[in-house]
Amino acid sequence: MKLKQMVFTSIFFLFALPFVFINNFYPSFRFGMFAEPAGKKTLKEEFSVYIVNAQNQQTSFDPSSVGFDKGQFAYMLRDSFYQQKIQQVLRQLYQNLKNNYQIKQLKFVRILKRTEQMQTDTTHTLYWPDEKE
Amino acid sequence: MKKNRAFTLTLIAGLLLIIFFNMFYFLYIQRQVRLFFEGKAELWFTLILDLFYPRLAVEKQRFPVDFFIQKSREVFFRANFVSLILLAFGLGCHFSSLFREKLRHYTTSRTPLSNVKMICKLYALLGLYLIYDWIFYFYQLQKGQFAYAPVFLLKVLHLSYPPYTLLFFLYCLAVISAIFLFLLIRPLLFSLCFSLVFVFLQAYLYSFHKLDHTYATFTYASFLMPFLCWNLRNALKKKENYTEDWPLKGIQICIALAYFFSGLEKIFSGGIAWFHPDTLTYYLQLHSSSWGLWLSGQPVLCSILAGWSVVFELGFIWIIFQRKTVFLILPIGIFFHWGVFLFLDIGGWIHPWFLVYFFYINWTDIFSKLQQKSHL
Repeated sequence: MKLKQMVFTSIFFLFALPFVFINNFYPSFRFGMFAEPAGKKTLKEEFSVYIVNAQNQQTSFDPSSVGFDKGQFAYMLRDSFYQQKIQQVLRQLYQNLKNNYQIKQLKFVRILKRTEQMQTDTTHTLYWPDEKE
Repeated sequence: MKKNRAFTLTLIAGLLLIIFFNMFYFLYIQRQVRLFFEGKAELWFTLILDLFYPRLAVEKQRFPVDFFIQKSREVFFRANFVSLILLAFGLGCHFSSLFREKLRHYTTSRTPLSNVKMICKLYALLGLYLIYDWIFYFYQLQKGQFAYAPVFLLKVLHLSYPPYTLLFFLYCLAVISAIFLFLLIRPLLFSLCFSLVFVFLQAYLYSFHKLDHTYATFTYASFLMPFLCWNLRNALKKKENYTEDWPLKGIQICIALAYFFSGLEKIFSGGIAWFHPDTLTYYLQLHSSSWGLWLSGQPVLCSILAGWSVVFELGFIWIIFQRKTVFLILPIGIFFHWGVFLFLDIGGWIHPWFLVYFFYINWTDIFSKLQQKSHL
């Protein structure tokens, strides 16, 4: 097979495979952004982390301090939440933050909004650092 | 005669393969998907799902098993669709001499070396522009390493997250390669070097749970740039003024296919519901830009814009067949991305997806026309 034919065939599969398998296979991308219809998206989830200090005042955690943008951080929290790894993530965050902040506890918050019923459910998870930490 | 027989045999083999695949799906795969959720699927099936769909570990906590059965049917349907497209292409090549001739002409055309040189320079400049701030992200990400979730390429190669010094070295290598490519010093070597490093650096950047498509078209162009530089080098060696431009055509096809598949995904995933105003309204409210919130209150306009965006994305590929449409489609493309920025707050006034449009321009033509005008 000529090089040219091989290259054009590869191009076809670079696009066709992610399309068929509905998944990104980096460096081959699936172009499914905004493709889902609204009917499937009646649930809206929001994830965030708060820092609670000794006076029980809480401030929203800025994800850029650990190199994430807001969307990326929310994805990471969502993945960790569903894999029941939130405690590990909060521990890691604490290790990164403890030198720069006074932290009594870290608070993870998940807000679930059902758009069609205008209902909101909230889930909290707290992380209390060990004294040894 | 022999060729005809080989074609008929290939055609029959292809059809049998499609039939086999369909039976395999209905009799075996669908059952395995259900068993996977009960933790009873066969080992090879579980391993493949873990490798190809790492997100399943998360998503199976969010959705019921029927959702994934539905998804697997969608995969099966799409596989059939792509097989039929391939079959139609094969039939077209075999039976239509006009189709064959047009294809041959398209892939063997030549372009002036000055055009290729300009493309190389612009590619290098754009590469530098796109990666200039990556080193700061990598510096920050040192603290976020606990969340490392390698993308497919890094997972297959079993690559862990490298130390910052290595990333810094790779970044410097990419910058130096781009500068040398801009100066057209050893373009083949440095385009190859830049492309490889770019793909790996981007892989590390996106190995933190969220992969977005900002650099997708540039990434595809990066795969083909070394081939274009190879043609450039060969032409320079032979002291020719023209070279084969099939890698450039390949890049143009990739950019057009990125739009085409974006449109196709909307048709396949959303169907008719995608054109309902509720869909765009949902996305507008989710991203909550001030213009977007205004637009979300205009259902008729939402439907029109949803339809228009799919028509534009599917129609972009027309640029490949009709060169004259370049000066119509490219400005529309720029307005399309500005619209997305304005209403959905995604991207910016300068977006990598339209910065790669320079691959569609014949720079030699432009410069010669400008020279003619200046002489007049």
